[in-house]
Amino acid sequence: MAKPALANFTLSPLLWLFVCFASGILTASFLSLDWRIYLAICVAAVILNIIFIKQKFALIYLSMAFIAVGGLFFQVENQPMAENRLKRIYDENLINSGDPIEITGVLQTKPELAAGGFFLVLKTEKAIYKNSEMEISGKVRLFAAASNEMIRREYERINLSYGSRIRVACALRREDDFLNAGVVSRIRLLDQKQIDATGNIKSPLLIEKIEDTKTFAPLAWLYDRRHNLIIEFSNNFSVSTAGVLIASLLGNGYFLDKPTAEVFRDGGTFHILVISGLHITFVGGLTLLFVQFFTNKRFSQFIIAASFLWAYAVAVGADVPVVRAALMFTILLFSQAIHRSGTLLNALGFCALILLIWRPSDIFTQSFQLTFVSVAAIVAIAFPLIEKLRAVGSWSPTSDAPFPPQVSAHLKGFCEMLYWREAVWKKEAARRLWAANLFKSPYLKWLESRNLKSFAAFVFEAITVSLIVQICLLPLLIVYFHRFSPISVLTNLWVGIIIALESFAAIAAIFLVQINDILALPLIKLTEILNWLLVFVPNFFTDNSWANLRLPTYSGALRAIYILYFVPVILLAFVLHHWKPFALKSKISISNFKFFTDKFVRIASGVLLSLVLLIIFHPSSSPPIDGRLHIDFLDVGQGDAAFIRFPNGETMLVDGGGRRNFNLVNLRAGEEAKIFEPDTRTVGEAVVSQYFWEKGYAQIDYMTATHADADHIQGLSDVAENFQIRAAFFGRTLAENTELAELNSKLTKGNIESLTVARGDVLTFDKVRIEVLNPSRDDSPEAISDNNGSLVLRVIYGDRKFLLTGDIERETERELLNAPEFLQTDVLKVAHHGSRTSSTLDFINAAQTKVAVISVGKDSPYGHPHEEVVERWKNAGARVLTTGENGTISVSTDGQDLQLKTYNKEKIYR
Amino acid sequence: MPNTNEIQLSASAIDINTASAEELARLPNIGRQKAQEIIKHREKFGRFRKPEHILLVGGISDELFQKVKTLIKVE
Repeated sequence: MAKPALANFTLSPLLWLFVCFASGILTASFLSLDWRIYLAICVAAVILNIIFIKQKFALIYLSMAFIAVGGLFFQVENQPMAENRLKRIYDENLINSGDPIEITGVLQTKPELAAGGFFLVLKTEKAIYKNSEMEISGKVRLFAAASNEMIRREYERINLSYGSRIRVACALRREDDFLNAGVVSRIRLLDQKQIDATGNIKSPLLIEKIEDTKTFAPLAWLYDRRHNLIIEFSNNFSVSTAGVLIASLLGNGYFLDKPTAEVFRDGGTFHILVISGLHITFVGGLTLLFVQFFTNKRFSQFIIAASFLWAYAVAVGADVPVVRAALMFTILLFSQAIHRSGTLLNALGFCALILLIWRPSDIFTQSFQLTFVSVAAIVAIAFPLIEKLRAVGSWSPTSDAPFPPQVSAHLKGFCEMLYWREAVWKKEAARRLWAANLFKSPYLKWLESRNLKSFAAFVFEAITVSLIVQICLLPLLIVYFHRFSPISVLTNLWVGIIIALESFAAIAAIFLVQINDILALPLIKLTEILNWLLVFVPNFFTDNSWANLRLPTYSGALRAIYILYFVPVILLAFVLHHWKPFALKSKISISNFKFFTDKFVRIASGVLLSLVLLIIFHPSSSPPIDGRLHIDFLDVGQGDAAFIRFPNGETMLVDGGGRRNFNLVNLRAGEEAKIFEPDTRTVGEAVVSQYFWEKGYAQIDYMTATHADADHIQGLSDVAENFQIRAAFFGRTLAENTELAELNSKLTKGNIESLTVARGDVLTFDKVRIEVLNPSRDDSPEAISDNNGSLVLRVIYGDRKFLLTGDIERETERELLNAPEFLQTDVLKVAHHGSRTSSTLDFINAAQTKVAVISVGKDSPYGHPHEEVVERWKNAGARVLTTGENGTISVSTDGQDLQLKTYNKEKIYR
Repeated sequence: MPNTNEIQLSASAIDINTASAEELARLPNIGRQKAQEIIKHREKFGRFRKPEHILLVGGISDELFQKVKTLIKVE
């Protein structure tokens, strides 16, 4: 920054070119013109640029050329793919997702170990589908469960390895599940990983190894080392420690257990468990330090450090974010090596440009945006700010800066406290011919006398970097994760330091284990203690509700706020770059940016602050009150979840979906049993909560549990955790199971009132009546909450009636038929997911419904809905819709009309 | 193919590609419902190319296959 910034030059031209290229990609994604058009524009712009090269405005043509190139690359990347690409075959329904198919292909890596099985990434070549053979291409990812020792041995006998050509029969899938607003598309995530389809290998008997193809030996060696390390880590450490180490050092997250992963998510530090820029910088930096011992030739340093870094990147699977970070680090290192350090911003622009040329549509991915914004925040804001504050604090008169910094006394005092070095000054003063008295901050002495100054400066800088990154990431964190952790400014520092120590301890321990188990014991214990600190300390803080907020997003046009947010951020970054604390006031007018006055800074900061508050407190993010009654039947796969919105805007959730089992994996049988809960997201979190956040809700006024089955109430626990709830309604005294115990503990923790309702009760919300038809009042403890004890609710608004039936079976249906006039309805949720245990003909006839909604997944493990049940409803004149096929099914009424909308086809039936 | 050659087929092994539902249902632990599933799978996705592929039918587990593997064949 000491160099004078020439008014007409930018020190980061490549950043500017990157911005042009990126806007070209964005333009092309809206305007999908033919790639030839972009090429033509580009050529024209280049010619114009050459003609007018002497003129100032020639730059405009250059920028235009780069915008056109961006568009061109995007269009070329999105050219229709080969006809035999699996992706295309499945998207065109030539093969149905979920059908069994026999594929031949070559393994791209060594089998990737996971808790309870392993993953294979197969580059496909041939397929046999319905007895006809075809050539195919594209990668697939297959999971093979190895649940017991026998199966594990069977797989070992097949000896799958990097480069093996295998034939495997399995059901391949390429489809989205949970079709609701806000749910992240599975297909999109797989496409970003360049996986066309996924599948499960049911048995080792279905795999056949054909041959071992030739592989690149060093790569095979790297894969073997990593594979062995994963085994070493999981054998020598506890579940939590091994999970953290394998994820953060080896880039394999399949060993992370849920409780540990949740602590990292709550503390806003989960990114540490995914290999990304931070790790690469760390590994690269360490290597560089190490290399510097042996050679001081910059170029050799660069070659050695870069090779090691890339070996690491390749060994951990060379995922896109890893390659991205490694590329960034290499470029920065290279610019150092050739003595062209330039500004960091320029290097950042260059990296981003290369990355987008490599894969233009990466700009739309979370991981690119998060990496780019956080690095930009550090390089463009945090570093310059710290540098300038350091200059202010350590100022002494020189010929470059003869006058003291023109900043407020408080700021000056603060900077001096951190950066002034009295000893250095005295030493220099002794050598000088002149003497001066400098009046520095009085707090200085206090810090200096306690030797705390470098520590204080370090803490200040770390917190500043962490804070600035958090501020810049805020909109992304809310839009992608609906999560904001104020505590993360601090937890990131803690976790960053501890995990570095833990990694060293663990690696040293693994080395010692090779020699002697007992020798390694102290280090293994040390690693465990560090891991405990790593998990326990943040967990202690995140238990506070303010430390970790779950927030909804705006929808529609208001979404622009998340982009507008960056306007004041960028403006303030500009101001920072043009801030010259040592220039005299009168000199400011020389700068080209006259409007960067104090007043401007104050306004920009004010705007930024109000945007932060708007995003965090999200006033009026929920949909406007329209005086209609809405019921949305969510697609929760196997399970029920119906969301009611009353005409006055109050809301109620009836059942919250959920998983049937927790997929607990027994890692090790016998004495030292290790039970492992994989880090999979529950339906209540990834589907139901996500839907509410997407729609802008932070409060769900009431929740209702029809009965205690997991696929109805498990999700309610997540909703109770993530949203404000006023009261919860129950039917029978509920059965004792783990899901219920969890829900009850969440309700107690959130201080949420539980109310029991029974047949004959009528609840009134605004102008809506809810009649409780089942279960009968029975306070005895034997009255368990089974299917037949389900709450049955009839929701009435004006002339329109909606019947929610839980999981009742024929016995309760018969009981309800005693008063058939209460069953007549317009829209009915079919009982028990369309099972043949329910929906008796008499009940159907009494309901006389126009629409029958079946809440069931696409491929129900129970074969729901049963065909005869669907037929029965159809024969009675009902339109039958299932959530698995249609996604969210939304009905609404103003008391007279009836509107029906589904997620899959945004068609409105009247 | 692992195991295929080692399997000692019983003399009365039935061909799963041609067997009727009744014949399939007579196999140990395969009742009427699973036999129906096997037939349905065969109709929908074509003939089984190997005895092991019967595992692709919903509800047929590894253990079950071990019990019937000497009794079924593909010709």
